[in-house]
Amino acid sequence: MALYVLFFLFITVTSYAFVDANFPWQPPFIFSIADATHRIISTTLYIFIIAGLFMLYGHLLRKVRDGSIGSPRVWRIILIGSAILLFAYPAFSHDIFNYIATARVLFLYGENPYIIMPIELTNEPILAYMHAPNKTALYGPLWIILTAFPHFASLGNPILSVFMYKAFILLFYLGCAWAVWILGNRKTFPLAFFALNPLVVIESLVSAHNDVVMMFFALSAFLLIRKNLLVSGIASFIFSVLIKFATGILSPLIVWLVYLLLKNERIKWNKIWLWSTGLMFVVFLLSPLREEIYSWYFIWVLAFVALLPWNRSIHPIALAFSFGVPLRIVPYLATGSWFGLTPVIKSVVTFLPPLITGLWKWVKK
Amino acid sequence: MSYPGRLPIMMRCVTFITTLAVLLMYCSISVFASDYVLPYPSFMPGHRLYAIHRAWSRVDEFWHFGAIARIKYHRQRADTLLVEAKTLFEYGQYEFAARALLESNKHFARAVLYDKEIGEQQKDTGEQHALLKASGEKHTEIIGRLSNELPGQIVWEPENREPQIIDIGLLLRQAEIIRAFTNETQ
Repeated sequence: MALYVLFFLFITVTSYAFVDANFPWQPPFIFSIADATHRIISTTLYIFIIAGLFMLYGHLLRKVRDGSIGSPRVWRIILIGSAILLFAYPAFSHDIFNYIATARVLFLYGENPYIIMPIELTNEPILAYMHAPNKTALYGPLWIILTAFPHFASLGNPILSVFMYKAFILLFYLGCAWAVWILGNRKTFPLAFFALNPLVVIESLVSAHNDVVMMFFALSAFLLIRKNLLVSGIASFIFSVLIKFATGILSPLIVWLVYLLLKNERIKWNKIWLWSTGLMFVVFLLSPLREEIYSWYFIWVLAFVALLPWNRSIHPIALAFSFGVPLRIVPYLATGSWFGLTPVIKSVVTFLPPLITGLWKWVKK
Repeated sequence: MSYPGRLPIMMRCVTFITTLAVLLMYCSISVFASDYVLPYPSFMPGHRLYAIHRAWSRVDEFWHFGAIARIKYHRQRADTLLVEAKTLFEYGQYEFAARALLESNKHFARAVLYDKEIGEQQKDTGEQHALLKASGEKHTEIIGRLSNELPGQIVWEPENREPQIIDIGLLLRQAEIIRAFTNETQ
């Protein structure tokens, strides 16, 4: 636990080395040792963070599996981690600025963010440090409506808005952890597997991606349906789809679940989690159709893998994926270019760890 | 716990979908913009989808809320209707053509008003104004060409209705004046 706290503190401090040069607040000079001009240091720091978090995570999972760590302790790590990482700068992704800009397009300028790109509002100050101003809103309408809360709470202050959006997403991360815990019959393993997975931690608590918001509503849908609250369950599922669309692939499964419940048939929940895992994995693999495989998309899969009873193939491969996908950013950190060898290395780091794990499991059989 | 017989089927589906995805990913097309370009003629009056097309345009107006979205909407509608008017004039469908031209004028006039609003609220640094101006210049070019080719006035004799005079010259002059407003705003 102490090591976890220390590591979270280390991540929070280190994250300020990645502050965008145009952001309205700049950290003290010492942090520039890992900025874009010192690529070796920033790349090493990032790899150290990922590797370190995975080592801690592996150790924790082993302890959870042998029963020496229970849910209260895991919850304590989750809550303390959330409190510390809330103050980390969104170092490894600029998506939070897209959320902020989209909300500003709608709530400040009164423009339709599905038609108007932030770049068209040429007087907008966020254009200086957001990295995708030439895109209309990519997210579902419910997400844009929900961003009204952090938007108005930040009172137009660009620095405060980063932390308001982070706090807002943190609530859904905790909600997701809670839903996984309940759906996993309050067992410690599913909770630790999901909520302390380094990919989930970095992408939800540091980079503040809204995938946990979508997954919160999806998991809540299953939770409500399981409690026979069909209308609320279906509503929650629709909310999930309206956040980021990806969970739309689970629609047939939800229809099937409702059908089984209405016919009073017994539901084999493990099969439901397995199908959910498979379907979300398909959407994950299809994500290049829209843009590319982003590491945080694997959160969609992890939330359901966590609910499966331990499987000698699925869990290790999912862990290998969650180790590989955060490394997709490494070639960019190291070279500063998305071209050249970067796309090749991105594919290699994504698929090589699960491939090796799969082969190793197959040989061991 | 293992799931015999489940994973291979899923894996096969995944392989198929991944292959399909990779193929689609590489089928992208690049588009390059040049001068201000007017759209191709869309559905014309008399086409069975024309009414649906018009109804959809009305609905689309509500989706385009906000001054920048509205200026885009009205500029594009003005463009489409001018092309429609030009095509109909060329085919001698003067009544429909005059109606399309009047509607194009109306949309262009609204675009001019939104242009003013954007300028006042400083939402951009003149990009929408420049686009509207370019559109206005292109419109003026077409209107000028039509003025040279078409008679100033015609008597339109529709079936089962009284004949009417269509003052094409006046309509085109009006259209020209409305387009000239882009030079005055901002």
